[in-house]
Amino acid sequence: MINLLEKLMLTQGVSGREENICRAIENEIKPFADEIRVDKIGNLIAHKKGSGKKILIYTNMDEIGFFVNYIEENGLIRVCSTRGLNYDAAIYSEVVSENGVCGILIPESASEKPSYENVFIDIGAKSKEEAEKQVKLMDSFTCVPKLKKLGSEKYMGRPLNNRVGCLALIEAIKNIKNNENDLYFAFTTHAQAENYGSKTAVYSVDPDIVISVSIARKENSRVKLGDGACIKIKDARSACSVSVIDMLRNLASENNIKFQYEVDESSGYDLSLVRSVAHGAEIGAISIPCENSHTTAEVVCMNDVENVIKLIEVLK
Amino acid sequence: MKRLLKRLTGAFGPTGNEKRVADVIADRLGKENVFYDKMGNLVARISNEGKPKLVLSAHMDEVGFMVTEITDNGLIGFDAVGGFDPLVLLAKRVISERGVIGAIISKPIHLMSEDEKKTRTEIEDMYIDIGAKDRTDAENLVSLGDYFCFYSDFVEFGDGFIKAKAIDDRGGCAILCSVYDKLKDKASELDYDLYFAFTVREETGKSGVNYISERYRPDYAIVVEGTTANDLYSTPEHKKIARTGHGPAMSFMDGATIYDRSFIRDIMSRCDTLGIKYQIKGFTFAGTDAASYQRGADGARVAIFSLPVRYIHSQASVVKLEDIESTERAIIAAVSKKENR
Repeated sequence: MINLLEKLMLTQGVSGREENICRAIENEIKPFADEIRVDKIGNLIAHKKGSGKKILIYTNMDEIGFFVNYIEENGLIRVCSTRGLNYDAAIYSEVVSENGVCGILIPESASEKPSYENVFIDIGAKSKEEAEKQVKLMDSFTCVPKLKKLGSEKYMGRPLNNRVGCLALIEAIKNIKNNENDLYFAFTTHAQAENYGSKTAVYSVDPDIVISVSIARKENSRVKLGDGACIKIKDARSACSVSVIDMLRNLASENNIKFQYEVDESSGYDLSLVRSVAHGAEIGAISIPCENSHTTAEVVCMNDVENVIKLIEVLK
Repeated sequence: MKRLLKRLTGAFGPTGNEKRVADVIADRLGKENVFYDKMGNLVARISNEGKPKLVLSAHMDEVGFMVTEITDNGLIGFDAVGGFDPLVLLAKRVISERGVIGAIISKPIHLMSEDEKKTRTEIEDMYIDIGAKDRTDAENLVSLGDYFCFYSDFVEFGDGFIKAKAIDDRGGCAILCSVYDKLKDKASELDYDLYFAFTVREETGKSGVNYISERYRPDYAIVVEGTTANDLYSTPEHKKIARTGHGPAMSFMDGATIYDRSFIRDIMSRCDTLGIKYQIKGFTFAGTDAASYQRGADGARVAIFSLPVRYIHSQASVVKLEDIESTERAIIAAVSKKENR
């Protein structure tokens, strides 16, 4: 499982550039799905047919990153970025392009607060001409991906948010057999750009129940690493359906799955957007506790991931 | 094209009051060829059943003003409809939906205190003078809720430039009308089932295009818009956004959308083959109608052609005719089969 997680993390897929990560996931789940399709905005949607309730379980497969916005005469690259990019944490990081070009994210001046207005990527090019041989406008960059063991149970690196969510769905798809419910699994795009991948996936699948799988920021929600899968109660913008909370709680208790509750007080755009197009579907969320989200040192506990996988599996 | 652009920019059409613009377009396209929906959007189609559905989209509305107050001395207080730099409003001529002409005024500089001189005059401190002698006189000409828009001539000047109001986005409307005329009898030569959407209410929340996206659920959408050309002054090169004379600007990302890269690349390679000018627009925070297509209903692959417009959202917006022609050619190239481009 760790090998697969590492493979997913090393495959770059910034928002709007999800083709490679999509293909990697598709290759993993293809033998286990009845149907699989990629929709108009790049969502990967797998179907495991059943006769019961139509349940959509989704997780985002994109990651935060930079795009080449302008190349200066001196060969330095100006960037713009997806939402959620923490420039304070990213400055002086080693970065890599979707084509494998290495660089460093540097500030224009050491005294200003870094933002897209005043940082460059230095790829060591002497001139614009030399830089253009390696990168083009629109190319994506990310901080260098990595995965390392931290202590006995934790792993650190990037982008754990949200490749651990992808891992959880992939493992569940592989393990679920003879499901009664009609299960759809969506790996969505553009989550770091206002979440419209999940919105369009929910709209097109039109399920009875929607369950989001992602990370819970420890900083926002007082969840604890190692205390199990998080069942979301509410976030800053919307409350989960009581019926789904009850269902998840009961399933977790019946199957001895370790869980905790999550109340996110400071974020939560995704579920409210999904609810706006869900045609009255019941909505809930399962999360994996994560520390230092959106930095190069995100931390998760693999026991929590395993509990999340089990909780998805029993939805069958 | 010039005649059409003159008619369209001259038409009265602030956000929520686009009917007169729609009627100009319907007249040009042929009333039998267009469909008015219940929001006031106008849609035409070059039918190609079985091909992927592509919407070409331009908004009809312009920024304008709405009457919110009539004072005892007959001045008209107003609110902005759409986004303005208040500085562009002072001393400009405006005209109401009923044809009443006025000028936007504020406290004259010789009456301002030293502190007032240092601060910007905001819209709350501006009024429209319609030459009324008192409240009753003004109320005979103007009611609360009436719209005003800029009253500005269409002028050709300099090196192929045009000055008018509302080039954002009547320029796009004019281009779409012209593309429709050129392609309407050539459906078999197109790669797409083509829809032309002339939308309402872009400048305040994009509700017109949201409805089009939900109703037609296109596979592809190309938005034709006006964008800021910051190509004069000492703007640093990387902030010029778009330059006049360099063709339509294609964005790869803005504050609301990451555009579909494979679709953009397809369009760029078509333009490259035919030597059609285009430019790549750097990141800006403002979003466009493309966001509504990309995330509406079950989504769509989106691209944008933005006309570089100087002094956008002012009564003297300026466009280069050559850029309008390049945009028209780029759109035709984007939707036509290889052998017919």
